[in-house]
Amino acid sequence: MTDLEHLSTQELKAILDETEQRIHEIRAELDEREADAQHALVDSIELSPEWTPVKWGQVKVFFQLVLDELRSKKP
Amino acid sequence: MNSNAEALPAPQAVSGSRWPQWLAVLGLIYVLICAVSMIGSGFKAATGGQAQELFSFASNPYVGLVIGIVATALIQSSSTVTSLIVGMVAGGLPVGIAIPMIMGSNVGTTVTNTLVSLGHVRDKSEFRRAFSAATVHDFFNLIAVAIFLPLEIMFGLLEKVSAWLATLLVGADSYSMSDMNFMKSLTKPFVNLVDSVTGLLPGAMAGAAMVLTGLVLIFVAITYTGKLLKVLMVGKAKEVLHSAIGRGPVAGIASGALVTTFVQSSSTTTSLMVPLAGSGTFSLRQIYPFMLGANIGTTVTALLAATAVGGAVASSALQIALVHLMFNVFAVVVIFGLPFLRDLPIKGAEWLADIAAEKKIFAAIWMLGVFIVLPLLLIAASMVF
Repeated sequence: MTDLEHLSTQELKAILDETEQRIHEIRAELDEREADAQHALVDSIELSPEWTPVKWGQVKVFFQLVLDELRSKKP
Repeated sequence: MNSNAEALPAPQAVSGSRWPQWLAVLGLIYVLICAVSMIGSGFKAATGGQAQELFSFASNPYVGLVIGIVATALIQSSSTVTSLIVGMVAGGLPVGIAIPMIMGSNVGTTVTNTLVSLGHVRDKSEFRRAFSAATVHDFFNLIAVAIFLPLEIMFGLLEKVSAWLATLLVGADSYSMSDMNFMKSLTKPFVNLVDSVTGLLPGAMAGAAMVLTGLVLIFVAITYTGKLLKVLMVGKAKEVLHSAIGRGPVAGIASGALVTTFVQSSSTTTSLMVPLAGSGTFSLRQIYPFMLGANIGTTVTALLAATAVGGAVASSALQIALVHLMFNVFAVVVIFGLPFLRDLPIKGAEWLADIAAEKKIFAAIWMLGVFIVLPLLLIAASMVF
């Protein structure tokens, strides 16, 4: 680990500038990866005439899990 | 995509021209407009011009709100309910009574994306994200009603502004001459055909049958228009979504509005957003503006329905359609525009999703509470006070 006390003010400032630049680059890279993932997800959307938003089978599963949760609480 | 996503069937291969499908869309829009006209004339006949007296029970705004919530939650289509309301206003239902119904419809339509989020229940983190994305829409619409319903009761804000705007657009006395009523001449043949059948019934039953026929036709027209537009416009909708990625919330709102206009269904748009949020690829803050945009985009249907109405009531029909638009635009401007209000729906949704992810019963309580218990409580409270 750098011994900061032995570095000059100029050197410390240079390290700070480099670090800030690096953080900026990392943030940009993360933003780009996030945007790429979002674009890919949007591309994967498929809509057909038969598509319906609600899958009633899954809603039934949900309420079954709720009932299981309530039963598991009973003494 | 999230692990819970079902493999959706591939879009139908479109071989050659899409003109037949576009013609079908135009035909269905024609059916929608005719259906609204049927509801107007049927409602007028069924009520014998006494709509205000017959609907005096709904003059209590909480009753009107509940009617809007329950009807939309059951039918799962705010477009159908708002088009029905436009038709009823054309048939004599006072605008003041219809306004809380429109607000209720906004709340009721959120049941669909909340039901969609329940499908993510098997993975706690995914469910938390999906449920919060769905309920941010619930919270926003509830806050909008909490702000604007009292304003409407006290000052008639939306009624007055929409009346002014409608008069500006349609005019108080214009459209009173049949030869200027282009829409009426277009819809007359089909409406008269249905009238010739329903007219066989005696008295008010003929009017009621006309309303029922109109309602069924609206539902069919909106459903099948949605099915066709899903295929025809999915490419354009994706382009709009792509263009909004990485941009600010205003782009998100505009995208949500455009996509909803393209597919003619806020339920489709908002339900598509839920799995996107559930996967973790889109954050709640990124999804939130799309939901608001969907609220605005869905008002196009009521405006379209209002074009069916001509004559002296054209202004009233347009007025209620404008109420729908203005309510949603004002809600976005006020709630999203004011910094101390903007995050309220997000905070509410995150809090609820946190507890619902740990104990699923809270999700069930929320659903039953908002769409069943709350309407009943409002009616009970309105009877007491």
